[in-house]
Formats: sequence, structure tokens, C-alpha cells
Amino acid sequence: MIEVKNLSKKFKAPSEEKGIFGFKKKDFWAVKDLNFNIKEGSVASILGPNGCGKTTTLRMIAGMLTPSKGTAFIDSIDVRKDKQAVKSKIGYMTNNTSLYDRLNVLETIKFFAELNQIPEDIYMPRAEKLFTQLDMNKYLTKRIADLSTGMKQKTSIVRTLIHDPDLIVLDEPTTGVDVTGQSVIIDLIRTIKDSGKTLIFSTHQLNEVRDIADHIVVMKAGEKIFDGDNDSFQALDSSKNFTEIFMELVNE
Amino acid sequence: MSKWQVLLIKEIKHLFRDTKTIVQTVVVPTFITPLLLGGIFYYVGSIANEETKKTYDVSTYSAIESNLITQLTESDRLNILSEESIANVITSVTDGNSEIGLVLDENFSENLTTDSSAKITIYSKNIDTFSQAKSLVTNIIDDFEDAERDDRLAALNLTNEYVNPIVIEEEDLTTEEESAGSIFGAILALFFVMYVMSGSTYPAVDLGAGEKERGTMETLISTNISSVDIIIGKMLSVTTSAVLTATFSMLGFAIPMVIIFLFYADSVNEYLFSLLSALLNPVAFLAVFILIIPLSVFMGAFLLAISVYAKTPKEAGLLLGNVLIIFIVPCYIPLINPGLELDFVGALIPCYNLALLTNNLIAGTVDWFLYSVSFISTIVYCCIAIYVTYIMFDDENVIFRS
Repeated sequence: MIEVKNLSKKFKAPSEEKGIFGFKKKDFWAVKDLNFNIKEGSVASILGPNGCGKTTTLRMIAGMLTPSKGTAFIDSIDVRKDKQAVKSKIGYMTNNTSLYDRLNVLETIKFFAELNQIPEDIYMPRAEKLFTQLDMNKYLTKRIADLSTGMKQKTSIVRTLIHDPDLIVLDEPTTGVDVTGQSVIIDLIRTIKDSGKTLIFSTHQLNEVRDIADHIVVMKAGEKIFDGDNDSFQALDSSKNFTEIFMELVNE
Repeated sequence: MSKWQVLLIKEIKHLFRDTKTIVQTVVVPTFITPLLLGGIFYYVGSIANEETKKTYDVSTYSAIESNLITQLTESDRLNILSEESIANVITSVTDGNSEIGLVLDENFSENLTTDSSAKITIYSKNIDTFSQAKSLVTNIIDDFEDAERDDRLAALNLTNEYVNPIVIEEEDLTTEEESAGSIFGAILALFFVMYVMSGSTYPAVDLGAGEKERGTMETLISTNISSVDIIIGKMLSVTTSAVLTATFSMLGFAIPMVIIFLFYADSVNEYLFSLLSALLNPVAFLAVFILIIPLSVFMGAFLLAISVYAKTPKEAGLLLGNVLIIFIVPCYIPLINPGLELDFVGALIPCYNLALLTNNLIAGTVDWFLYSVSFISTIVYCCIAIYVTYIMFDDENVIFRS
């Protein structure tokens, strides 16, 4: 499903050397020669400390950033060659609900469905099913600005799933979210896992990873330092828990 | 429905559910500005009207008796106060106890009788532009001087024609339309440009930097909408707001004028009435409106490009504030130089061409070739601005600039 080949991303960042207009900028590799494969129907988690390149990797996989080197294939489609085709297969969500405050729930879902060119007779039954699943029916005509964080999170989930994507990409979905919001997200990930869809998410919550993920990729300073399944991660040191193993890995 | 149409409908809905947009687009240009302008005109008019009835204090000092002082005293609107010294006259004017100070030279009467020049010193503060005190005093002095001159000429058996070999007669052939164009053209253009700017600035900030800050831009580009569709959808939203603001601003000017014509025609000054009649020219308004449309698109695209470059709405506001001067200054030039004529180079300068063409359209003296040059050049600028916006939206370094 996801095939990442030598995926790299270079950015300009301020150096310590001063120029006429402030600090001179120099190249730095946010992600360097990343390689991993995620099987269809599996749940993969990308772990790593802040600034290790998790978001950049997910954005490249989702076709939002162009790789400086290497590429990623989503269902054999090269993200460098056909971003739009890749994007139509993906549902992307961050921890920030990122919705339009002055639209109501139904309008928001309609907007994203129509943007994905899904006919109303297809998206409405799908939306109704999701609304019922997430217990949102009372809130459909409420504006996003008037919703609680948990309800915003649920709307964001429906928005992400409305075009029935093959791959769901979640960038730190539980970071900064309250307990209710976190539980909504965890339930979503489980539901997606049960439905047989592929899901990749980045997180700092190692408990989530242990319970849900089939595949783990650990990154440090833009490079991969671990790639394997849940059991192989535990096998790194069977006497320690996930958090301790992770800490050991990234502090090496 | 294509993707840009879906986005456009969403953006319009989102924008116009914001009270700030409604206030800026509809309420301010249609109601607040005409009320404000009407209020200011009414206030200024009432001050000017008050001045025509006012009696002014004039402090005078003259060492000897003079007919001039007698004539000044005879005026209903002058209250003559005799002072004991020149210093007292100056103090009286300086302290605001009198509007005008008048000092007759100690040889005033003697000089007049010996056919010399008699000196009068007038003290005043020229701050109050409405005050008629000085003109009332100088008119009486002029009449006094005319009478003295006539006496001197009669004594020499000379006529007025002898000392005035040339008589100049002036006839102003300026039409009411030309006067209206020259007085109101540049002001109206400045208002229209300001409205188009205010109508585009808030949506541009909201749909560019605002979306970046709220994270909705990231959500949007994660969908399979292309950069071209995003630009068309967003730019048309900004332009719609700008054109609506311009339309309501035109209505804001036109409706009060129609009300004046229908209900208060008798109470309006004849000259002002003729100027306002000349302003109510549907062809001129339509032609100005046609020019404003590409200008709105140009500004919309330009402001959106800057807004999307900014990291935050605060930065966008700062950048746009500086950039807007570029549009305002060309409108001011015809305002402070009323005699300017539009030429080919001028027709290529956005806003400057609008100011002069508005003037010419109201005056009925428009050169349609230069009008076409202005229109086409603005469309070219639109295309350049749209291209720059496209580059901005297609550049991930700009979209994810933080």
C-alpha cells in the first residue's frame, strides 16, 4: 500500500553565520533517505522526538510536500508524478481540527464531499452512517465555532472519511487534545483498523502504539532508526516497556 | 460543479457570515459614509451660513478723524471699536477680542488731500477661512479708494478709461459637467479605490494568512483540489467582496443624490444643484464601474498573494498596510493637481487612470482610446497578479512558511 523509497526533504534554515539581512540560511535535511513499506490494511505508527521529521514524512506521503529526493508510492502511484491522484486516495487529519468556524457541521461535510467530487446520493448515506456512529445527529446544524472540542474532533473525522479514502493519514491526532477528544480518536483508529483500511499516524503516545499499531517506524534527526512490527519492537528488550525501549532508542 | 465553484460558494458563505464583512461591504459604504459625508457637508454649510449673518468686531486706531472710519461704522455687520494705540489694536486681535485691526497712518488724511498714497495697516489672523470680516473691511476700503481716485481724476479732467486703457472681460465657458468632473471626479475615484481596497483587504487576509493560521489551508491542500482551483475560488471570493463594496459605495453616493433631487431640490443652492445634476450620469457611472471590475480583480489577486505569503494575519495586515499606499498615492495626484490631463503613459498607471477617467467621464470629455488603454492595461496587471498568486499557492515554502 505505502512504499517509501529513499524519501528525503531538504529545507532552508537559519545558520549561525550572520549576513546583511540577518542570519544566512543553509540547507538542512528534515528527512533523509527514508525507506519503509506499509502493507494494505495495516496500522502503522511513526514515532520520534519533536523535529525528527514525522510531519514532513506524512506530508510527503500525502502529496502536500514534494520530496527533494526519493519518493513514495501509494497504491503504486508515485506522489512525485501524480499528487492529485494520491490525494484523492488519502484522508489527512491533524490534531488541530482545522475546520471553518462559520459553517455548520452538515455544510462542512458537504463542502469536503463536493470537493472530492462525490455525488450527494453517495456521500449523504455515508455521512449519516458516520454521524450516527459518532453520535452527532443533534449537532448537524450547529456552527463549528459553537461546538465542543470533542464534537469538532468528530466533525473532523467525518470530514476525513467522507470520500472513503483507502489510506488515512493522521498527524499527531491526540496531541493537545483533551481526554474526550483522545478517546474519540482512539475509537476512530480502532474502527478504521477493523474496516481493513490502511492507516498511518504519528504520535508521542506510546500506549496508543502498543495497543493499536501493527507496524512501527522510529525516526531520529530525519533518519529511520527502527522499522518493524509491534513484536519486533518489544523484542528489542523484552524486560522493558514500550516507553523505555523508545527512550533508549532515541537517546542512543 | 467544478472544484473552484465548490470552493467559491464555501468562501462566500464563510466570508459573509462574518459580521465584519457585512459591515465593511454593505453597511459602511451604503449608510455610514453617506451619513458621515452628509453630516460634514451639513455642518460646514451651517457654519458658512452662520458667517453670512455674523457681526464682526473691528478695532481701529486713527490719530485724526477720517471718513473711512465713518463709512466702516455705517456697516451693519461691523462693530467698530476705537483703540488708543497701535499696540492696543494688535493686542485686541491677538487676544481674539476683535477679528480685524485697522490702523490709519498718522498722515492718512493729509496724504489724501495732497494726492499722495495714504497707508492703512490691517491686522488679522488668517486661520478662520469662513470669516468674512476681512473681505467686508477691504470692500469698504476699496469703495473709499475708488471714490478718492474718481475725485483725483475729475480734478485733472481725466476719466477712468484714461487710466485703464485695457478692459478685460472674462467669460467662463466651463460646462456644469466639466465643473462637476473637476470637483468630484478625483474624490469619487479615491473613494471607489478605498472601498475596493477595504472590500478586498479583510477577505484577502482571512482567506490567505487567516487560513494558514487556523490550519484550514493545510486541510484544504490535503484534498485533491489543484492550486489553480484554489486561486480561482479564493480570488473570486475576494473580488466579489470588493465589487460588492464598490457597488454599494456607488449606491451610497447615488441614493442620497436622488433623494435630494426628489424631495429637497428647492432647498439646494442653484450652483450645487447643477453640479449634482451633472454627477448623476448613468453612462459615466457604468463606465467607471466597468473599470473598477478589473481593478478589483487585480487588487484581489495582489492582496491575496501578499496575504498567503504572510505567516500570520498580523504580518499580512502590516504588509498590506504598506502596499495599499501604492494604490492610494496615484489617486491623490489628480486630486492635488486638478488640471492634469490623461495621456498614454498615465493610462497605464492603475488608480491614476481611474481618477482622471472618472473626472473625464463625468465631464463628458473622455477619450475612449485612453479609456480602452486603461481597461486593457488593468487586465494585463490582473493576469500578472493572478500568475504571482498562482506561484505563491503552488510554492510549498510559502504555504508552509512558519
